[in-house]
Amino acid sequence: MDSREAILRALSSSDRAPMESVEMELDFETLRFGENRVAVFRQNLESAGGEVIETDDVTIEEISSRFDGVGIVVDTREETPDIPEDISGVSLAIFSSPLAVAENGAVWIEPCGRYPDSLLTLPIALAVVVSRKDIVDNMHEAYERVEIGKCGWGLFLSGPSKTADIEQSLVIGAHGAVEMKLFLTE
Amino acid sequence: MRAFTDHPTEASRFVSDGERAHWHDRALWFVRAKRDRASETLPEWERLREEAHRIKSHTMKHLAWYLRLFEERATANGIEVRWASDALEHNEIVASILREEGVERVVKSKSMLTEECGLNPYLQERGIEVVDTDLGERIVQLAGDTPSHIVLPAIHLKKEDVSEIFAEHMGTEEGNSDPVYLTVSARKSLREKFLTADAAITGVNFALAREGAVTICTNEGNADLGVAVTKLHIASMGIEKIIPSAQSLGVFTRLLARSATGQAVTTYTSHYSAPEEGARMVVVIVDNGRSGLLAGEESPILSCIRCGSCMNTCPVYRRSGGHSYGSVVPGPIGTLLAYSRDGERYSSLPFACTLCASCTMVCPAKVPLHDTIYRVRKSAIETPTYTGKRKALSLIYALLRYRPLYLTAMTLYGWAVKYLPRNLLYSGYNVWGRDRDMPEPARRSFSRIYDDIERREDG
Amino acid sequence: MRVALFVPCYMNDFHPDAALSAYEVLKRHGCDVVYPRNQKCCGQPFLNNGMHEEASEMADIFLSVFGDFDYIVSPSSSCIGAVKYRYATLEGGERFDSLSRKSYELCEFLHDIVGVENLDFQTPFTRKTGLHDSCHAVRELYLSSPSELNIPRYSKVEAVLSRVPGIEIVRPQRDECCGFGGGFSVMEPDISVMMGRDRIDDHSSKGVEVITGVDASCLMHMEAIARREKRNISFLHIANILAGREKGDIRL
Repeated sequence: MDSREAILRALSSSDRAPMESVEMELDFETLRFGENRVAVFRQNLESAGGEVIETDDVTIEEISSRFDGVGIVVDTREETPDIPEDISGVSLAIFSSPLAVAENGAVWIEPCGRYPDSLLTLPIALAVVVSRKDIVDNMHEAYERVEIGKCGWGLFLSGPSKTADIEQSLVIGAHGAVEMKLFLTE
Repeated sequence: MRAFTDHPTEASRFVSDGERAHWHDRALWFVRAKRDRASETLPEWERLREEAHRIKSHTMKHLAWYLRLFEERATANGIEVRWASDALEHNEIVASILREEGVERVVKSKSMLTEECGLNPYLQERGIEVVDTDLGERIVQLAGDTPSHIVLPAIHLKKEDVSEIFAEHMGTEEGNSDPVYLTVSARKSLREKFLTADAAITGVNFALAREGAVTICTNEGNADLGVAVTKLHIASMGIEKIIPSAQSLGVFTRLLARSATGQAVTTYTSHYSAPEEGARMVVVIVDNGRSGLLAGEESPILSCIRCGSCMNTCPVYRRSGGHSYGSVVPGPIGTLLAYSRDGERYSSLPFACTLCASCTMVCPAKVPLHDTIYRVRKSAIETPTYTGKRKALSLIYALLRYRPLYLTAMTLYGWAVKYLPRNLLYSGYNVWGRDRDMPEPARRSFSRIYDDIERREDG
Repeated sequence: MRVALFVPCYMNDFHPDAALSAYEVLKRHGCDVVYPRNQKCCGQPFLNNGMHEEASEMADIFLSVFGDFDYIVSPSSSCIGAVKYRYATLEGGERFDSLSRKSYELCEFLHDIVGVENLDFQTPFTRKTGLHDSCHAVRELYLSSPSELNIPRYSKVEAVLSRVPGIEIVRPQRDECCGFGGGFSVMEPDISVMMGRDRIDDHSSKGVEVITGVDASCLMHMEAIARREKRNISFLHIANILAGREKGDIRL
């Protein structure tokens, strides 16, 4: 008997389909922000080390100009983005996001094979463009809108990478992006 | 590494450096306080905990069914699913996959399961370099040490300690203990490791049965970086990591980071349902004793989401440190995990607890931690280590049961406290008396006083 | 109301003054109080150390002694906690369910049954008083809101204590265990002492003169440390403050 069989056999008392649906009806009041949504989103992303810039001018030039010392820029919003061979040389990568979450400042990003995954993890700076209309209040709503499994990898990103592993001192910029700016459009 | 003796011995060692013990206690209380503030931002916090508990309990009732569903969906997505009965088999599976792909260098993000299985030494013995990329884990790896907390692996080290470790192993400036400098240095050094690695090994925070996907939560982005720059992703998970679907993640992602560090969410909440084009992804499902817990009174511990909040709130953990538990996962949940695995070796852990119940109050999945610790004491007291204690308690039982014995003992005690020379009363045998005075019995007991009350009332 | 007074074994011998105070406070508030002579230990040390056979015996004795009363009241939150919640974990523990319903810690009884508005404490207490929240009182009996939970803050103990004329109640910075834990105090003596010392330091830092609480074991443990370290802080069981009795005073 292989391990798969052995494990399933050991768990046989739990080997039956659920009769009831576990999905909750959210029968309790969850935190909602109403008109305050954008402000709450901004506050949460900024306390996570990100920066929120409200603007409708989100051309590659405008976005790049907001970062200091930018070298190679890749704009994944383009039909066929110009991506260099060595992605670790990219200093700024630009993404668009269909969804943002007010309660924690997160944005949803899915490469879906349009560009290499490492473009989200290697560049020192990230820019994400999202519309204020696409901000939801909380993660329950967010998970209702995204489709896990449609693309091989989907990520909620809430700011630049960070760590507090050295005596609880918060340091922005661990392995991933050191800088993350969020461009909020109409 | 020194062999584990028992919790009291290790804890004494930790506490003997009073200043450091207080520093450690304050550091962890600070994390508990951050959790409190985060929980207060959600009026529905207690309701969410109840939901998490409900979802996990439901999942455990149908665990095998959900595991099958996960395997079916993940496989359809292009993920290979393997099963390991125990730690050794897990390591063998991982090693064989690495060998198949000619892997020589691995980057690994935080996975308590791989620690539990002893994966690092197993691979290293077979000539495979394993670099732990989580900063805290990298620090302890370089130091030849082990993590002392599941979320904050290097919480027991001061920045000066880290500076020394990095100076020795990474060539950083001696005496420079600035956390930013040290982190940037680690980033540079680890970036090189990432870019020359052949495979990435990660843990799994939540496995989604319906979608056939795994969710990984980090602040550093090290899991995602490793997966993105290599062509082989091995994700190791315990069988209990399954949840029904992504809809449940609404509950868990709102609870996890707030409970762990007081943040609203981890910087990276990543969902992998298929390897990137041209890459390979394998999920290894591991039992290693978990299935045995499902039927017993320890089954609630399978609901743990590994947030670490029980450690942060435990007054004993804060003052004794993770290493004093002698186990991969320390603190209240670690006590139960370790004890269930090896009751003899870890028999002191269930007694390294005052049953204050703070752990149960903070657990996002409402695991009844202190209640379960209370329950396992029934078997723990029967282990050889506690023969002496059991005898002492039997003696106390006799005293409490039989009044004449009790009165005699109390009289003797009263005499001893009053008349014994101090150096005899407080000799080495008197464990209480080392740092505390002996309480003195009153001149008259309440029973005697009540005699007078009754007499007075009868007139 | 026929109230049986349950006095923990160690309080009988070490804090008879607090037991006497509890008796008096109950009487003063209209209770017909009885101290059943044949009472013994509630069995907590055996429950907490996994010795369920011995605990069962003590629980059965408790049931036979206290079973017929309307209320069982004790100046000890941990013992009442054992009766209410731990007896049920014994084999056939359902037979103790009736005890659960009528067992109260002293302040709990004064708050829930007598009613705060009906409380009448005559003797003022003007020393700066630190209130130690015992773990069993908070996280088992819910006499006050556990600091870990996101629920409205309340404290039955403070509500009762604040009816004492002139009292100034100070809370320590942390809601944390004193480190006694029964057997823990000698199994893990160093951690136990460090925890107790930290509690005393917490109260001291607020300029507290007296530390009080609903559990004599917590107070006894902290006092043992304070006396060894010659700290200038005293300990008084809450029953004594409510009754207007000084420590050690056993005059009727």
